[in-house]
Amino acid sequence: MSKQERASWIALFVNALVGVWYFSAVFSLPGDMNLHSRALVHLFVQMIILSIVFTIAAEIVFHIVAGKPSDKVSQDERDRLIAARATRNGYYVLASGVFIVMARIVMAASVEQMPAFKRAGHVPGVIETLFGGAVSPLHIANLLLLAFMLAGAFVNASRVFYYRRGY
Amino acid sequence: MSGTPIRNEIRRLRFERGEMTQQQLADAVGATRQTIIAIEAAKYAPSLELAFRIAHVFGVPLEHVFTFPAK
Repeated sequence: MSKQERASWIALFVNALVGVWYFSAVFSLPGDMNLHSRALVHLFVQMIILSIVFTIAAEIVFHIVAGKPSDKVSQDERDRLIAARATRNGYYVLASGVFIVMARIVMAASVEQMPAFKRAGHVPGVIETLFGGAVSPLHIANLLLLAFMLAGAFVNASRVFYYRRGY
Repeated sequence: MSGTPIRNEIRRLRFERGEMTQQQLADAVGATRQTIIAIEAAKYAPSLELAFRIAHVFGVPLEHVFTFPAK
């Protein structure tokens, strides 16, 4: 396994682990997301720290188990080609995610004007506010973060696929 | 891209050159061992530059290393 493929496996594993942890924590927050801005910031910082720690730990484990890659070059033409193609794949996912967030914002702005949705005393849950209710900067930030993480996962999954299947 | 029609004699040439390893060939041409493995298995078509470097290591013309079937 080359150094680049190893890095892709680690990134895929760490991003999946940390992403699932972060968004399960976000979705478990009760009530309106705007009430939990401080908790969300803490979660975000923890996610960054956990990503760094898990990546370093995984590199160490890989190094112990598989040893140091013996290649003199860290990246050759095939690695660059695979990276370029995987990045292109990730771009499509990111662009789709951003488009969906934009549509979500426009949808929310339109729906908010409808009398039927202006229910007095209704406090929407986190999932409803993320995908079905009003949008706030925190909602948008988390939706964009989700799009970024899915795109990153797709980039690394693409790299692993091309390395394994052959390119 | 799951394969390439380009065939090669790299494995045979390696063994004829004092049983050169894939790692040694990779180091000589500035590639990774995984790339050499992929080239030998016809899973990856090298660039023109890399193909020339490989031929140069073996001291043979390019067409003695790589062949492209007519059809």
